[in-house]
Amino acid sequence: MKLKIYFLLTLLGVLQFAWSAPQQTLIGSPEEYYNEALAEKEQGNLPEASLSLRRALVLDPTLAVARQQLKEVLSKMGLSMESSWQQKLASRYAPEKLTLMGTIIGWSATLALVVVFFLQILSSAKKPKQWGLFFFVLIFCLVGHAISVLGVMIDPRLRARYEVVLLPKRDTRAALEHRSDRPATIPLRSTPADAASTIAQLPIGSCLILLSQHGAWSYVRTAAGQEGWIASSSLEFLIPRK
Amino acid sequence: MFASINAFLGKLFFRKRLLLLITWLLACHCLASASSVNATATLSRNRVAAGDVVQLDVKVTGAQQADVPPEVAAEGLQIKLTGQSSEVQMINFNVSSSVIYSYIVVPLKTGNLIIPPITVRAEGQMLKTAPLSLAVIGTGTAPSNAPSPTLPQMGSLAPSSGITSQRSSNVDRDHLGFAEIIIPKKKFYVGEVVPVEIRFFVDAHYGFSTMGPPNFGGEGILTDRFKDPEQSREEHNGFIYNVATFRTLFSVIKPGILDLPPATLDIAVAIPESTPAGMDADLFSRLLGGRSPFVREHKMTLKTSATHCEVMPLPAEGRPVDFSGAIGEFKLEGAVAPQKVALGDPVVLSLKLSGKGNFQALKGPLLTEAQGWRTYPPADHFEATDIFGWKGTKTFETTMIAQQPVTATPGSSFSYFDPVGTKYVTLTTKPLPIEITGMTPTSTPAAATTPAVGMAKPSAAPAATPIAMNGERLKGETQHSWKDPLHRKKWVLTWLACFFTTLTLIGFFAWRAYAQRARSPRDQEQARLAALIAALEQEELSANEFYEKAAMVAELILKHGTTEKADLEEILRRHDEIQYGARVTFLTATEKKRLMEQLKKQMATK
Repeated sequence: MKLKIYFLLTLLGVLQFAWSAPQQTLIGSPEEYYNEALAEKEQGNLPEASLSLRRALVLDPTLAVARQQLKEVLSKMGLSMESSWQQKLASRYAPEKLTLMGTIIGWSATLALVVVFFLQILSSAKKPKQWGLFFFVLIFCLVGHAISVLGVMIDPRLRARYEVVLLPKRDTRAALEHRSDRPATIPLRSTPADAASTIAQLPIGSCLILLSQHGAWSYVRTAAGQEGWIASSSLEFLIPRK
Repeated sequence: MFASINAFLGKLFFRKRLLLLITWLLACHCLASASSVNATATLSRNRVAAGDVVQLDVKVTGAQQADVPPEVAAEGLQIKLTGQSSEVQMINFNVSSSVIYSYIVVPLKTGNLIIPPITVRAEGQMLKTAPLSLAVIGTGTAPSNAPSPTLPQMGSLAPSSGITSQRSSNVDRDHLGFAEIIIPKKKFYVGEVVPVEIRFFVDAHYGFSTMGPPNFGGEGILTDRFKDPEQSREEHNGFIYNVATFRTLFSVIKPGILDLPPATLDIAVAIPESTPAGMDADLFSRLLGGRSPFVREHKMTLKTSATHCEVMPLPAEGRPVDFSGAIGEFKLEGAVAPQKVALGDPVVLSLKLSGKGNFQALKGPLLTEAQGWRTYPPADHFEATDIFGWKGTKTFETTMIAQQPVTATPGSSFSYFDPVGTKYVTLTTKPLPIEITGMTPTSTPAAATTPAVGMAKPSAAPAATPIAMNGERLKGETQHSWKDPLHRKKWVLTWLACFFTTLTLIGFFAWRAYAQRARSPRDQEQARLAALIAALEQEELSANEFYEKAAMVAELILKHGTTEKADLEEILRRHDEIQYGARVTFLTATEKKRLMEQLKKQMATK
């Protein structure tokens, strides 16, 4: 009995520590980013609008209007919208809710499974083994954890940690002189040098995977699978850095 | 003894005489040789093309050293000493030595030229070579060297063959290279792009490098950037040339007679210098991998001849309204993707213009019957199928969004001028069928009255998200973490807590099961005793079985020694009788009850 109380107190202590941990998570509002994107779009700043819309969708992938706007903005920029099964699923079912629901179901069923296993299956008492109950709970356990893993996998925030958008800073002086304030494309280079050979010309607003960063140069992968170096100053992280 | 000494001395004198004889013969031979010193001059070739060089060898036989002039004066020729070599020959014990002085002969003019006698001083004698005749012919008849299968790298200063190592710097620069321009037609229209090919020829004997792109064009002439030159080697009028071919497109912006100015290209040619006297040119050449050790860079400009063209204006008659300056021959194809979309989703109408003409100036086809669609400026890309960029396919991709229920995309129209048929042509594509899904009665007016298009799909919108029109600001703000659950402390700790709770539960149950199954021997005996008593209480036991189990209980009780054997004597005796006797035993219920009470009583006292 003492042992049971000890374990119960330990569990409560862990949970209390978890909830009382200092709030370090960066918070964002998808609606705010969406509204920002609309304002940028109205001003003709399509790359900036695409970044805001991408951010809105990272925060809330079920925000259908943001997805619609992003499609439109990318089309106008001559880019196609990346589409994967994770994105399609995340647009229908909120990943965080899936994860939470799966976790609750999975762990509740796991605890029930332990109890059933020891009390019903391993019991030496002269009573029939309840295998049906055991398998029923086992299925709940597996399904719950699978849902939880699925929710984590389709969560866009997981990938967004390594995603960047090609968005070089605007040249204010060029804008004032009514010149093009930034190039339409940025070269993807084979080595981290300005004189290196060009692998591809990447249009502004492209979403890239950041593989590594070395000072002024970043090693990235494009949606087409090309890998190369690009100036770090041309990149904007999908998840804003504080 | 005396006789033998005499014989020895006789042999000795004989040997001395023999040696004297040999010495005398050699001396005579040397004197004879010294007396036959002569000088001859030979040319490596008697017939040479202007601009080419030839080697002159002056051979002085019978001497190991001679004085020769460093230069030989000859009309129309430049003759310079480049080096010397010596050789020793033995023919029928007749040893002769000779020294060869090599001159390089550069013809300065054509015709039959005479190399005068060259005065040589050797062994104290003044010798003269015989005069030689050299035929220098013009560029049209000179014999050519066989073309090399490998082309030297453009820009290399290395000579392309060993021939150049024999060349002097005094080459005929008028024959180093030339240029030509090839225009497929001399009569064309304003705005029509014409491919042009400019070929620069440089004597294959010399390496050369270009100093920038060719200079081509003039007022009223629009040219594209030159593509990288194509390199080749060609024979022209009997001479081998390295050829750099530049290609581009040009067009003219005003009609009339056009004097196309010459195209020029600045190049630097590597002219081999003669090897200084006393230096082994072959050795240096070998060390430098076949290159001439001494070269001088000579800058020059190659120029084409001027060309006259006639530029005609485009006819005003029959000019379509949508004509935007396209000149050439084109075909138009259309495609739409996807062919089934939800209302408000964008579709892309691809219009492909293929053929040949001024693709760079092409504007996209005009969309027709575009009611109900919102269209955006098209994105275009061009894929050339020739080296000029004159032929190819230009694709215009127009993104469109249906604003009302439609069943087909817009059609398209494109007009161009055909310079071959000298007429305007209009190409069209028909509207392509498309299926718009998710059309709702309320969405149409809303989309039609606002700049925004389409409705957000109700099925896709979560319950918590306010359903907003596409393009309207969202009201209210929800807060979301930028971190996914795997990177949130709360989630991870909760998961870990559940995991350890499960582990704890498993441990607890496992410990309890172990405690139940693995007790002390005394507990095990007690459990066994209880199990035996429970078995004895079952009614279906036979007398034999009952007494067997009862005896086991009695033995367990007696094992602890708290009970006298006499108390359980009856049970043990009856068990032995059944086990060893031949008698059939019966057990009544009363008897069984009495024995059970006795056992329980003994157990209670234990």
